[in-house]
Amino acid sequence: MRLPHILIPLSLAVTGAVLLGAKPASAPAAASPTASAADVYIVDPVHSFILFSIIHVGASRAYGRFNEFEGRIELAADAAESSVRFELKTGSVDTGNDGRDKHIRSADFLNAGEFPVATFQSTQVIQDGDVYRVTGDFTLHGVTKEVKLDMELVGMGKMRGNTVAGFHGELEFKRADFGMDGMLNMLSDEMTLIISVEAKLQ
Amino acid sequence: MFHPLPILYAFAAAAALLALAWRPWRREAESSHAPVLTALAFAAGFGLAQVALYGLPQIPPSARSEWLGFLVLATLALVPLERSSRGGRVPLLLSSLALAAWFLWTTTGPKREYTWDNPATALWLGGALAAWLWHTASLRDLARRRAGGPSLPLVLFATTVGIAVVVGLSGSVNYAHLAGALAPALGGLVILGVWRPDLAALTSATAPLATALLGLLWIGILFAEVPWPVALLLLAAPEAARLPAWGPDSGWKAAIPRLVGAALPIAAAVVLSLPEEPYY
Repeated sequence: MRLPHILIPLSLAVTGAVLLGAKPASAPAAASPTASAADVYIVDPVHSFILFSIIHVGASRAYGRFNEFEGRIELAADAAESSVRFELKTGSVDTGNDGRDKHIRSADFLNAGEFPVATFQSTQVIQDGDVYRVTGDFTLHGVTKEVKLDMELVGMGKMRGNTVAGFHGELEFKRADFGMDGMLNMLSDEMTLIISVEAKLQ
Repeated sequence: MFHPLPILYAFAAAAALLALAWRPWRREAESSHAPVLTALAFAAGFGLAQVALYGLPQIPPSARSEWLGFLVLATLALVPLERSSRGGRVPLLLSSLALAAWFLWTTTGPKREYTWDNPATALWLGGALAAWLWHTASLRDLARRRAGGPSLPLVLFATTVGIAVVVGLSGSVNYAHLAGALAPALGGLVILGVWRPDLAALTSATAPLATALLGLLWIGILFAEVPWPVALLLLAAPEAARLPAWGPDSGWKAAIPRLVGAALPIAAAVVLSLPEEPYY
């Protein structure tokens, strides 16, 4: 249930990486930013997915998703000037079971009433081939921590005349680090946030 | 997972302070400090349980719900006003209004920023403030009318247990524990009501108790998805203490119809909170 928190930072980082990834040399020329202005990419929520997974009673891996999130990535010619910001609505968690979703939203886990939004703000982006190593501040459950994740550029394409870039990354973290230590006897402390996003060049 | 120790702490702290306040083993006149100590018993029991559950709160708290413990402590300042005669009513009303308004405004920050528009904010805050003032005044009146005996303590105990169950059913074990911590703090009052029904133990000491009850319901609505009609049912439950008695007003028999009367809205609230299909 703490997975959602993790997913948010991951999604943010992934989205940022995706946007950043649109401008590398390996990417199509259409996505290359100019030195004078950063290219702005907006995450397309219809074609993006932020998932989380957690181990249940030590036996199985359970998955869930967040249905509402936003992302903005600005890519400059100098990667050091690029930035990524994401916002995720914690109340939009969806595991396919209403009762479980309500519990995950509660103070036992996400505490969506108290902390309705999780954010990621990048502080550093480094390109390593098709992999983007993003460092940023992830705020979840009222706790802000620096996180790092590697995002792989899946590819670039055209969607109704628009240039889009896709990235995929997985972030592993401990939910207790963000103050979500409920039911550690049933649900693992370790969580994985799976971020698979498509972002559109503005 | 159920944590019993905070409940034991709350009971022990509240019972010890109540015993110190009323010395029920003596037949001498009550101490002038009894109302303050009684109010302190509830605040201390509730606060100790909260610390045992969540640890010492940060200042300012990271979660808005944690302000409730501070609010309950702040209401101790209202006890002297509760005890004063007619001249203290306006200051008591204004002080209660200010504390309630501050708490409601503080706890609704996320709702006002992300969920409610201005009309919804005005509706929720106005309604909550009205309910808050009504319940505070009603409990004060009940404490005067049912000054002795186990009737009112039992009704309040049942209401608090009902709040804990409903909050738990609505999804948050975390806040259910917090609500459950208030019930043992009332346990000492039940014992006192049985032992010495001649003592008006709750009179002039209702502010922390009313604040804790209201605050728990408000937190349930905001942060545990308790439906507001369910919260209103629980808010109405203590009114059952107004039911007529079968025998002496402070005796055990008087408590039975009142407890049954309170159980009806509490049971309705619990039934309405039952999940359609548990996922565990």
